[in-house]
Amino acid sequence: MAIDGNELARRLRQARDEAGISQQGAADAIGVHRTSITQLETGNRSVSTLELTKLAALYGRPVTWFLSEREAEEDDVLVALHRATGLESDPASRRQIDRCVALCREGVSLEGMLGHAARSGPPSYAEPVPQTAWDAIAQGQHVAEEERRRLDLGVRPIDDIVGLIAEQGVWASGAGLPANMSGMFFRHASVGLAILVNARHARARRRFSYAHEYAHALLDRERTVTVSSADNAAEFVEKRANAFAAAFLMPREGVADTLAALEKGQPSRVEESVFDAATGGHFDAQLRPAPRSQKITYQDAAMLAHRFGVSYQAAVYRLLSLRHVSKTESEQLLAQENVGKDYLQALDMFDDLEGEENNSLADRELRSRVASLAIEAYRREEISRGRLLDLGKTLGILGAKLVALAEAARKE
Amino acid sequence: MDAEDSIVVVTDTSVLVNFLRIDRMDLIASHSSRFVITDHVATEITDYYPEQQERLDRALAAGVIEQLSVSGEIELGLYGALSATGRLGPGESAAIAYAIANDHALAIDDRAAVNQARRLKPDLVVLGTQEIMVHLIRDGAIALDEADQIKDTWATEHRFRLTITSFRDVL
Repeated sequence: MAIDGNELARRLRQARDEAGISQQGAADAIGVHRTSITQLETGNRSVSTLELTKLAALYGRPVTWFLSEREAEEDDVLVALHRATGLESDPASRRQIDRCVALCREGVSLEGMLGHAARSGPPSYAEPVPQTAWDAIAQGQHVAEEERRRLDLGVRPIDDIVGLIAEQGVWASGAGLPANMSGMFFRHASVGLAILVNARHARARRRFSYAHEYAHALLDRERTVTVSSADNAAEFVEKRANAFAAAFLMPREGVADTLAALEKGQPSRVEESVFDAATGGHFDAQLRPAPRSQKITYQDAAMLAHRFGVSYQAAVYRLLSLRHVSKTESEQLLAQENVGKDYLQALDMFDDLEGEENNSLADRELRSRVASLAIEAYRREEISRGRLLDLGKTLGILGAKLVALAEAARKE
Repeated sequence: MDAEDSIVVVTDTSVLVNFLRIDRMDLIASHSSRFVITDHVATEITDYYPEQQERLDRALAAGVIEQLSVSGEIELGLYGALSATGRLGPGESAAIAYAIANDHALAIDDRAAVNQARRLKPDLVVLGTQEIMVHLIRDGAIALDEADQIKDTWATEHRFRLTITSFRDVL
């Protein structure tokens, strides 16, 4: 074997410690006496392949991490994530993160077998670390405009932000994170680039978080893990990511078009001067919208939020940022947030932004991508039936169901 | 004497479940080889084929097959190498590792798994369900017509299809 028994024993102990599981907990989970775990971790008893498989699953690590020389030397992505997120004392959130990491790992492995090009992700924008809030906002907005241009998004809203991110070679999924954490971006050789957002947040907030984390993928690629939470919101890279998200989801021209369609956003007076070829002089014209007709109201802010799939607050701040409203007007609009939400409720539009969502659906895009790869790998006989059954556990699909679906693909 | 005479056959779930599903573990009992399964296989029956659990328990109690754990140093090394391919399930990896480390035959139907096993040991004796049935027919443990009926039952009721029309074609 690649490593000796003592090293295997050490890794078993290390993995259990880093997973925050007691010896008794591990023993109960795999159905042995606690002293067996002690003996395994001191090298006084050899581990069976079944025990190792169960312990690896319990500790959230691949079996190869325990048995190969190479894996243990690498900085493990889970350790980095647990450390960065401070989730040592939150096993429920940690399990969700570990599960998403496992899915990303499987996806990368399956893509390799299927001969897909290695994931390079979207371009990395070489902006300096912002030193002021102004720099942060300017950089975020600039990169958002560049990225929208690169993706040929025009001025239209982004309907499927998760799909868009995934198409750029970044895994994206919801996960049950602590309430103060909106999302995270991480990268590792074994998983590629990945974004997780808090599945417990409302839909509009999640969309903003996806865009925010995508900014980290574009701008902060050198970091292994970037966590976005209330604790670090004041950092300039976080402000930059927020500015990116606002401009990416609500493009300047798109907002202007939406306001124009609402017959809003015109200046109080528009003047035109045209050269007169006959006289060599010119003639003037002037348009004055009806008094107060251009005032942006809570209905306009609510409709803007709905059109771009963002929260009412995010829409108001974007209006302020684009100078469509003054500071005072934005404060008035924010004071009317509940009226704006009532307005959307009355029109049956509120749930599109803030309706309750089944948390079990949060990772379905990620699961669907990995499931598709698994079925294709089975169809091409790159993976065995036993592997497919095992993947069913990670995917949350009954093994028999997954095999039946894959067999159907083979028959096509 | 056939390759599988008087040898130990390490049996994967894919082969075992075919005989469990038709409740014909008596055929395995009448085979000249000794059949063993790893504890992974027993777990996979519990997890994925719970309806076959009772039949497996009966076969184990009657000594038709034996269950063992895989824990030797060589076996663990092979298990790690097979797991690292990302192409096999844990039960298949354990069965292959045990068969190779102990110079036993392997009973498995999955082609992707056979390919990986043969990469590690090109001369590994690999039997599929079909080869086991052919051996049983040759030994007179089952009649050809009955074997063909079983083949049809596997295809129509258990989604396990052999590419032959009749076992007569391969006798």
